[in-house]
Amino acid sequence: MRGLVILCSVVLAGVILGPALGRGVVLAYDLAWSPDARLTPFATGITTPTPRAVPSDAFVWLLGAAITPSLAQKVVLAALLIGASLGAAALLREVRPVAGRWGLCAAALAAVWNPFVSERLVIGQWTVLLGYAVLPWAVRAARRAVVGQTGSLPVALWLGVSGVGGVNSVLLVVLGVFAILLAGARRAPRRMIAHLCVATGATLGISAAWMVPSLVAEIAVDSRSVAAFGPAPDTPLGVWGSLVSGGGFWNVAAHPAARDTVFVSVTAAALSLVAMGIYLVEVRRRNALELAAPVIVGALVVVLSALPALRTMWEWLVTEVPGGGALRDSQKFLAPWMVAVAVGVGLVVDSLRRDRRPWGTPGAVVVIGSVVVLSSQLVWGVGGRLDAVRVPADYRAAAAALSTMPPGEVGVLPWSQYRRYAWNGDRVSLTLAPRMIDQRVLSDDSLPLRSGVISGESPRSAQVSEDIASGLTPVAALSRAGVRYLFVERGAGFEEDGTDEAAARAAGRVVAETESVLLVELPGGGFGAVQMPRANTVGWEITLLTSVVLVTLGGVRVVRRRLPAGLLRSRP
Amino acid sequence: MTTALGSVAAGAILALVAIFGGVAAISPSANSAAKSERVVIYDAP
Repeated sequence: MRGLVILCSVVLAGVILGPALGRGVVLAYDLAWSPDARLTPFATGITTPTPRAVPSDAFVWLLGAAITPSLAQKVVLAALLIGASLGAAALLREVRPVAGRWGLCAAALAAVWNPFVSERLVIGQWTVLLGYAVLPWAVRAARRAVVGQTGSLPVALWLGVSGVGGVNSVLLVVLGVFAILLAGARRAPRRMIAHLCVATGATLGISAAWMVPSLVAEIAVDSRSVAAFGPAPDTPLGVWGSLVSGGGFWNVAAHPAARDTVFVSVTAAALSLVAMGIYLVEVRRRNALELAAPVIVGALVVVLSALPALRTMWEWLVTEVPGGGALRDSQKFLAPWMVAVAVGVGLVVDSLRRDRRPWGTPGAVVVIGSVVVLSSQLVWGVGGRLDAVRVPADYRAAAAALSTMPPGEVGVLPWSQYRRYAWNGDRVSLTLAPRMIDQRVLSDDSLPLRSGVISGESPRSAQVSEDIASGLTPVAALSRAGVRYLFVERGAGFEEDGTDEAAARAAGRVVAETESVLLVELPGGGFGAVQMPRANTVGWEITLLTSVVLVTLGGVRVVRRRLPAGLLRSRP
Repeated sequence: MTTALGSVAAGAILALVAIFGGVAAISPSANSAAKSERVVIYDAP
C-alpha cells in the first residue's frame, strides 16, 4: 500500500511539474535560480539590510554544487510536492489508521492538486511550499509527542527541515507545532513544557541566520504593503469564499482562470467545507482534537488580516511589531487548513469506499475526479507557466567573469528587480544578477505593483531611485552611488531605446558586450571586498551549529532504528 | 460488476474533462502581458 501511495505522489509531481523537469532551470517570479553554483554575497544575506533568501539560497548553492544547480532545482521542486502528498497520506493514517489505498491516494492528490499549491508554484515561492510540505509531518510528530508516543527529537528534526526555507517555511511549521503542543498541555503539562523548550530552541537556532540580522537592522515596513499583500478574491465568491477552498493569494497574476466561474468556485468551496467538517469530526471521534489546533490558529491569522474591522490593529501588528512584516502575506497561513482539507478528502473517499452500498465506489471516483477537475490548470507545469529554460551562455560567462574581477559593487540595469527575459518566454522573474555575480550587487529592491510601488528595504537602493526620479539618468545615479561596475541586462523585457547602454559606454571602460549583457567598469567606484557584518556572522554560526546538532541527532536516530533489523538480517 | 462498470465510466468521463481542462489551461501564453514596458509589473494579470 505504501508503494502505491509513493507511486501516486511521484506521478502527481511529474504531471504537475512536466516541462519544469526538462533541461535548464525554471525562472518564475520569485523563483530565481542560478544555473551556476556560486555562493554570492546576496545568498548569504550580507548585502541587503535584512537577509532575503537565507538560508534557502545557501542551501540551493550547496545542493547545486553537489549535483548541479539544474538537477538540484528539479529535486527540490519534486521533493516538495512528493513530501506534501506523502505527508497528507501519513497524517490520514494518523487520524484513521485503517484508511485504505483509495483514501491515502486521494489525500495525496488533494494535498498538491489545489489552488494553494497552484498559486504558490506559479509565483515561485518554493520556500512557502517547503513549509506546506513539512507541515503534516511536523504536525504528526508533535501529536505523537503529545500522547507520549515519541520524544521531542522528531519535532525538532522537522523544524530543522523547515529551517532550510527561511522565514516563510519556519513560520508555517512553527505555527502547526506550537499549536499542537500548547493544545496538548492539558494532557501532560510538564512533558509539554519540555517539548516546547526543545521546539523553541530548534526554531531559534535554525532561524538565527536570518533572525539575528533582521532584528538588528530594524527595518521599517511600508504600510502600503499591508493592504497590497492581504488576501484577495480569486473567485466570484469574494475573499472569504476564495479562502475556503485554498485560493485568495494576493497576487492576481497567480490566480487560476478557471476559478472565475461560479460553478468551479462553489464546488471547490463546498468540497473543502465538507472535507474540513469530516476531518474535524474524525479527530474529535479519535480523541485527537490537538490536530484541529493548527487549523484554528492558521485560520485565525488569516481572519485577522482580512477583517476590515481589524485593519488598524493588523496594520499595527505588521508595521510596528518586530518581525511583523513576515505576516503581511497572510494567505500562506491557510497551509494547515489545506493540509486538513486534503486529509478530509482522504477520509471522505475512504468512507465511501467502505460503504457497501452501490454508490460507494462511484462516489469515491466522483470526489477524486472533482479534485482533479477543479484545479486542472496544474497539469504540465501549471499550464506551461513553469518551464525549464537555458540561461544564455554569454550571460553566464559575463556573470562568471565579473565574479573573478577585483572586488567592487555592481549596479544592475534596467533599474528594476523584475525581468521578462526573452529567452525565458517573457515570463516575469527576478533578475538573476544577485544570485549569479559573486560581488556586492546594488539593484532596485522595490516592488512594482499595479496599485503603486511598494518600497524596498535598502536605503542606498532607495537613494538611487530617488535620484532617477529627480531627473538623473540611471547610469548617473548608480555612478553617484559609488558602484564600480554596471551590469546592463539586454532583452529583459523593457523598452530598449539604447539610452542606458549609450550612457554606460560613455561612463567607463566596456569590459564585455554580448547579446545578453553589457558590462562596464566605471572609474573610481568605491566599495571593495564584502565584509560580513557581525550580526550575520553570529547568526550563521548559530544556525550552522544547530544544523550540525540536528543532522547528527537525526543520523543517530536513523541508525538506532535500523540497526536491530540490520543485525537480525546479517549473517554471522 | 455494476459498481465496477460505474466507476470506470465515471472515471473515464472525469479524466476526459480533466484532460480538456488541462489543454485549455495550457493554451493561453504564460504571463502574456505587453512585452515592452518601462517597468515589469509584478502582479499584472
